[in-house]
Amino acid sequence: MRGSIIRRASLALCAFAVIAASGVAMAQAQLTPAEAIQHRQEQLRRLGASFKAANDQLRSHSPDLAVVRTSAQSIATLAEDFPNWFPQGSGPGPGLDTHAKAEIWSNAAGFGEQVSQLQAAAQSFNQVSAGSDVAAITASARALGARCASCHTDFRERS
Amino acid sequence: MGERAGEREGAARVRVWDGPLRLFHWSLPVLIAFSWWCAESGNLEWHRWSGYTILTLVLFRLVWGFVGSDTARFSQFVRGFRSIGAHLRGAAGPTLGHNPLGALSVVAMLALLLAQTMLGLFAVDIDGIESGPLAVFVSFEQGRIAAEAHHLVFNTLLVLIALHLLAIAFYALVKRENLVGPMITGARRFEGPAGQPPRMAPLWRAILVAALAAGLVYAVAHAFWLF
Repeated sequence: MRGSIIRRASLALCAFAVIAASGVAMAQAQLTPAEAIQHRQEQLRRLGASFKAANDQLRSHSPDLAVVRTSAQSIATLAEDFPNWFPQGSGPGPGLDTHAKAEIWSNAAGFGEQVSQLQAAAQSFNQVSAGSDVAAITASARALGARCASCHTDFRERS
Repeated sequence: MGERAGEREGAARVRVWDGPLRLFHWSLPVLIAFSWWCAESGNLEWHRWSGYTILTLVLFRLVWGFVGSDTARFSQFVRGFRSIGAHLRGAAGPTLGHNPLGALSVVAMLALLLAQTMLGLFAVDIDGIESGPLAVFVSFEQGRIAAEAHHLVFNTLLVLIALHLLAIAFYALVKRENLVGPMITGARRFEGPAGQPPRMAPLWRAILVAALAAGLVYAVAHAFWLF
């Protein structure tokens, strides 16, 4: 009799765990496609604004490296979150206003490779910015920009 | 330009377009095409320098429109909509420089080129890495709006350029009047009322205006050394 109580309790616990887990998954998937697109665009604009802030400083006669470092850190964090901005169904579709190409999902491996390279470049930029070699930081920024450009070429519709 | 400027007896050969104006005119198609190609191929550094040159030319032309040769002056050909009507009816006589209808084209072209170059100064690209020199003074969002407007104005410019070419073709094929030759050589045959030939502005004045325009654009390219 005791064995069957433990068995039943374990089964109930498992069932609870499965329901809880799917509840979490559902919470994450609760964004409608339109909301997912809007969230993605907001995050990408934050990314662009951070990068602009850094590049503006690097172009200046006396760059404020504190601004560059703050930007580099934001960019690195955003880059880590990047893959989460492309849930299934948030690509081109009827009534959906996005520049994301369908290839992001049909060529997930290729897109994933681009994202990995972005993350690596962002980490590198973050590390180099910790120092004070403006030339090296600028070169790192250019490399990061090239990553943005190359992925946009492959996976973003031209405006 | 006037009616049927052919090889008529009594038609005098007149200087109509000064050198600086002709140089200004022909530089534009070259630079506009070059700017477009640079943007398409991702050469944003060259694109900016091409844009700075166009801006210098436009600023030069705007000032030249007040201090240049007679035929370059806005007061001479920008005459208002009544004169356009009179010209179209044939009520006005032959014109030596830009006729009132051509004046519309000149004003529109200069306005679009000025708008295009100024928008470029503030534009930021999608990657946040390439931007105009004055983009440091605006936000990423504002720079993106400037970039989108820069694309839109370019398309409008293409329409205006197409109209310009159609007009030149119309004059050549229908009115049998060669407008291209005079814009190259600066001279044309004119059988209108024999009056004072247009006064040509001295070269030093053109050099001075061009130098001032270039100096201003140089300062703009460096964001006035404020950043």
